[in-house]
Amino acid sequence: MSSTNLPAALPTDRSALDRAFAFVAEASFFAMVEPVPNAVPAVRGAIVSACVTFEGSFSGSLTCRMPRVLAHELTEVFIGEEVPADGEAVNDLAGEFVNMVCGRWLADVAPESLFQLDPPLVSAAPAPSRAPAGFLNGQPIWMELKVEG
Amino acid sequence: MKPLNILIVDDSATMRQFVRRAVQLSQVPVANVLEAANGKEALDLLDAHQIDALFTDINMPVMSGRELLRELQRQGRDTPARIVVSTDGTAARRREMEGLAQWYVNKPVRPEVVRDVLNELASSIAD
Repeated sequence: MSSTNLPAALPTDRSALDRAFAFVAEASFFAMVEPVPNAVPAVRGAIVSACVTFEGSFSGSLTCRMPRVLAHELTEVFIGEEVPADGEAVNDLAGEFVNMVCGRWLADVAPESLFQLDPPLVSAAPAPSRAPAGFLNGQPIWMELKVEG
Repeated sequence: MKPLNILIVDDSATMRQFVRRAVQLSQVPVANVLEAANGKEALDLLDAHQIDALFTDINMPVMSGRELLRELQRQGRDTPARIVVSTDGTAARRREMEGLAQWYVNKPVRPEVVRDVLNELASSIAD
């Protein structure tokens, strides 16, 4: 994952976040994470950003950004019914998505540690200039992991 | 089989809706499904209703799932059956919840896991 920023001393590896991302996408949204194409297409519409902070034997945050239209699609898959594109359920889903990826990642890299995860903060955001972590349903998702010792 | 009364506790309305749908898909007989956004709301509902099964998140504002389960333990309640549904899949968290809940389910939750838990619960009530 190109956007991770892990201190070398932490007992983890960068592929763990990729595994967590792929697991959540498949288990909850029946979607496969697609590789990033050489030419990343322009993002359609608004971007939603969801950030969860965690604290335990190490602390940090995981931020996930995705097109709001993708968050809307994922919401409808997740709960099995139509929801308004501008509704609160879409923000809620974006928060749950990053929460699930973060929880899965922590269980992988630090299974014997207890962590406190704060409720996710969800907001509108610009599209990042860096490469996405992957594609879902043909649309990009960015993951930014920050870890402090 | 007696239809179950179920309480879903999660600060995410989307997650509550997901668990509610998984309960419906389980085909286990259900009388009522109630929802609460935190542990405090859940305690109020538990005082007012006979609940057979409680699905609860851990990290919630106002009153966490951990505090809710400890309060139920302090009150010495045998019911409802307790199922933790959490993003925190660490072995350490699972051990912490032992004694507070009968089941521990990780998010993302597969609907068939909810079905299996409810079938096991319904069988234990019928026995």
